[in-house]
Amino acid sequence: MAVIRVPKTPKKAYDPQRRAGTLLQSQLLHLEWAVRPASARTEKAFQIKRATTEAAAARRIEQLTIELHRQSALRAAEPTAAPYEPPRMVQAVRKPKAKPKQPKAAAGKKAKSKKRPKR
Amino acid sequence: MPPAGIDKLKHIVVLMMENRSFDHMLGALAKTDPRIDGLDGTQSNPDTTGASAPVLPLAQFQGQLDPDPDHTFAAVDLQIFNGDSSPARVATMQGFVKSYFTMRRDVDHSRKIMYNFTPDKLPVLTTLATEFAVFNRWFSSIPGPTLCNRAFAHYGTSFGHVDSSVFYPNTRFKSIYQRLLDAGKTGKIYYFDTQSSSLEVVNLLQHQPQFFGTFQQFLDDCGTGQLPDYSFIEPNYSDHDGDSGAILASDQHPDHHVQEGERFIAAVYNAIRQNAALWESTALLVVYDEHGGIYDHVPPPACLPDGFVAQPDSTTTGRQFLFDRLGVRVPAILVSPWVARGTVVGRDRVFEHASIPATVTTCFLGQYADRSPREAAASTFLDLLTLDAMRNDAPEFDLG
Repeated sequence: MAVIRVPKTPKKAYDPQRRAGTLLQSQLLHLEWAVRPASARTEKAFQIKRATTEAAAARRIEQLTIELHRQSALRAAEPTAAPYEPPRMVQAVRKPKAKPKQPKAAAGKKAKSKKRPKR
Repeated sequence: MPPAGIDKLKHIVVLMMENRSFDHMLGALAKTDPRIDGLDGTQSNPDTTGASAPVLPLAQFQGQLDPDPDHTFAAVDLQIFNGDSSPARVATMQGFVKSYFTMRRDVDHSRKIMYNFTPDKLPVLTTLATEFAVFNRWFSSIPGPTLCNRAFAHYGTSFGHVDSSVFYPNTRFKSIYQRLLDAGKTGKIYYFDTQSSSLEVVNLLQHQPQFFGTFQQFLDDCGTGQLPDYSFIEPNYSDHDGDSGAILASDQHPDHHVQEGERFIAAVYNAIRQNAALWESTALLVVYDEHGGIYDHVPPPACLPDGFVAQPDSTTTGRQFLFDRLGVRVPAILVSPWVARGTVVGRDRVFEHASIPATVTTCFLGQYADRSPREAAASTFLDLLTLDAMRNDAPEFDLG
């Protein structure tokens, strides 16, 4: 039976100040998305600060991961907790399409005006 | 009667690394084993001056692929088709250097995308490939980046996504972990630590944290024989400080040090190997999620459409994508004491990441209707456990 010696990685390889790449940025975006309530995930409200270094990304990822676990534990403790069903597919973090124009009211008939709800 | 190895199989473990192509990591093995479809030194790409950039065995562990090669859908399209957008275009694998040039606009630097490792530099991956089974045709599922490719390993589809945006699954194609849970079986994703966390966030980590553990828990579970039926391991995605000091990224994503990934692969292998009962009853698949923009010479084949359509605003190529072509080839190795030494899985057998849930489902659940078209058509790999008697010559890795 052969024993294969695996070289140690040189210490100089360690660089926590390395610029955080696109994968870490994507992971952060997903975590930031997941910890927020659905109402806070609109494009306008969903502006996250990008991590500049791997160390900064790792710190934030840890915070968000712990928060996700905390939220899940709270949900699980609720007596009415239902088994998980994934939500319907949605387009995420994407500009909503413009609403289609309402068709004009038929000639001779006046369209009923709807009261706008107060905001 | 099934082969003894399948009869004894209780656990499947998948370790998914990051962003390296087959030729980059294992292509040089073709020189000693012509059954392996690797590099013979004649392969090349044109650079942006029109000069030929050949493959060269000059890959370094770190510092060579900085900035990170582009591997968005549009960039991979350029790498595969060399800018040809005609309806009858052919995958030539001639656009890798041109694609990498766009990252730094440095001709000499762009040619490094053709570099590959020699076997002596990767003792762990090379040993596993030559001692067990190496796949000649394991492709990433999508010619695109990490998250949509990893989705195929978890769900058998990316639900129409070709990028790393947030997505939700539909209710029909359940994750492999949910399928196992529903059937009274067990599945787990082990991420490295909370600072590295998981890449499967919005669906599973958010809603089903019971499916997750850390790499230390994986080691503990191996030691105590408590490994679930199916385990999926994620390496460390960043350099960061831990309780015991500096922790290096082990995912091998450029520009992370490749040797640390070697050590991580060896640690996973050793954890299984050192528990005799576990070693006898476990199959370990080491695979990479996608090629990361690095050269490979084998054109990805067409495949069964996935039933989803990615629109031009997602592909950013100006064209739809019907999920009818696989991504670039990646290293994949199946390890088990029931696999014959030096197995090379032939060029006629195509695998992709949907092969993972397909294999796990077939092994532990049998017939299962609600799979994506791609998963339903995917090849499975446990037939490679062909031996009647368990090997006792498997190597060990000394991590020092």
